[in-house]
Amino acid sequence: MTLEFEKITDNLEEMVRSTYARQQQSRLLVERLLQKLRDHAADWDGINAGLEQAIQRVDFKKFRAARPLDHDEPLDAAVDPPPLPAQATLIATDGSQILPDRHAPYLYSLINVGVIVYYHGRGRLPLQFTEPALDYPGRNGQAATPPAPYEAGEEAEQFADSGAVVSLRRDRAEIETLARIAHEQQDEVRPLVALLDQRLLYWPAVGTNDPEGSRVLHGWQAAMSDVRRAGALLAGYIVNPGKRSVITLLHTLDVNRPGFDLRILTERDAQPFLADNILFRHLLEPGQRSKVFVDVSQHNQDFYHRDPLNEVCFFYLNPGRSGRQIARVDIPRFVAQDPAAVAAVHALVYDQCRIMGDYPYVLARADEIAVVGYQDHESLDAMIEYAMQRYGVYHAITAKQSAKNVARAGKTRHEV
Amino acid sequence: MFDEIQNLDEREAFASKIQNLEIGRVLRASTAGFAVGCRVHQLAAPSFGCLVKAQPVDAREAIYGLVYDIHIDDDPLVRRLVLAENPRQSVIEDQRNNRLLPIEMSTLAVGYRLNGELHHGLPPRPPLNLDPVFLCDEPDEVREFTARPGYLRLILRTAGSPVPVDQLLVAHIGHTYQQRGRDAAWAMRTIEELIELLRSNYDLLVPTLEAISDALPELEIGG
Repeated sequence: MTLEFEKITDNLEEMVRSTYARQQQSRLLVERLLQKLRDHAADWDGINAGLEQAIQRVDFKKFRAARPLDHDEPLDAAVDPPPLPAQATLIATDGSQILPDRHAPYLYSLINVGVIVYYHGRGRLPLQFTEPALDYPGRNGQAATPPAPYEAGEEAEQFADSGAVVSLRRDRAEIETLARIAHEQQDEVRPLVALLDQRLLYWPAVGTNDPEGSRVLHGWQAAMSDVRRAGALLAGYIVNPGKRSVITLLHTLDVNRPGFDLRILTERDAQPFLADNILFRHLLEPGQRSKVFVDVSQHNQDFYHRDPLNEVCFFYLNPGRSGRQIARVDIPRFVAQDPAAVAAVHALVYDQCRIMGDYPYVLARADEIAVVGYQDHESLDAMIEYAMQRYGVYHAITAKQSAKNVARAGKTRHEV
Repeated sequence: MFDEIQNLDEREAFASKIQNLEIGRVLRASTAGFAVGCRVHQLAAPSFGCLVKAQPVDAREAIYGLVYDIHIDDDPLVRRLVLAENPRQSVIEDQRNNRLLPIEMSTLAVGYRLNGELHHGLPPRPPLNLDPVFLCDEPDEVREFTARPGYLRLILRTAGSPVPVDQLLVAHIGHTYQQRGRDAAWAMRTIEELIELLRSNYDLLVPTLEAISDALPELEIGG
């Protein structure tokens, strides 16, 4: 049965009205926040005082703010792209997966990591390859590509029949592969930039009380340190970021004002939805970056405690040739505290964006290499089935899946 | 030379010694022709109108075709890159050599070799996909295939289809003339055969002869 569109037209109308109203409301708020950003652009004492008081008065577990990394650039800085290094090496990884399907004849999952190494300024053919790893029940605790033993005493990974866990492992595989390739490319031209298409302040969706979540988080943090040991500049690129840490920082300036509602610092619903990128859209011209900020949150404290140089910092970037789309670039402290490293990441990431218009070329290619399409999935299913048949093993899809396949198959008209 | 070899085994042995350049593999096929997929570095050799051969590795017949279209596809990423300022050399290399965008050549089947014997005509069955395809650039093989004009009928029967018959004939005759060592006698015999075959189709004959005359002025067609 097709979707009955007429039944949702009223909802749709309401959705448009609500979006318009929020947009009007946020326009005024953006103007006020921009003014505040300019008024306090170098008010370092006021900013520190506001942040410290806010941290003392709110539930820190829910607090997400930003702190200026230094006092060199004002809060409203718009830094032009620095000169491009004549030569550089960029590595990008991305992952995709086939999630376990308990209705399929055979239970398995697959993680496929795509890697591209781009030799900037050398006219050299980029290196590309994939690293697929199949997982299945009874794998005896041995992954097809064994993870590095980052944590002493960690138990070997067992097969996971949960899609959420496979996705976590994919995230970990992406950064661990990035770290390994950074080591392999150590002899290549510097700067060596290692790029991911996600935030660096990784936090597993299942939480850290879950052993799998804890294992993935620790693996992630260890891989960040490993990238540093390889001498690479790590960066995470986030499109259309929803973070509002800088806006929260601006709100902390009012923390002592009578009647100030503290909930605005921790609860997303306590104010109209507004993300930092909307502010920086008004500040940054194409190619420009914002000031570098340090993420202030309990998660980042955890990163700091495990390795102080992994504390996650970030800047906003206008990556377009003419547009006002804003991206966020996460960098660890070991990159952020070195102005030359920040300049190299800024220049090279923007240069990558210019290749395609507004998104890093190496990330688009890593995604393309990694993705396991529907046809690949079907071919792998067929390969598994043929191989099983050679051993006389026959399983079938479940009755539920069979019924779905029949019901969703293409319809044909009965002709007379 | 091939015509002088009478023994069938010797003919097969001769055929197997021909070392042509692989230009790609069969993507899809019918008895009327086949499409060849090739990579960028394989594109330097073949050209419009040249003779190619799908050569199965097993006992099946080799099938000859004339390239009548070379097609380069795009995709959304290429379309984005076209709009960028000055694409970098690394990106161009990456697009051309790493990404799986085959260059596609369409060929018209004009003959086949079965049990060492060459036939002008549609093959008994098409080549299979992924069969290797070679450029026929060995002069002896080209001489053998073009020694008799029977295959021209297969080109002419496609008039009205997407095959650009007049341009294909011109390109093929010009190319073969050079491969046969500027063989003017062969070219004139072929043109006479075309005149005979197209005597009731002036709409095709006249522009074809004019184009051949422009391409090969030394032949003094109609002079």
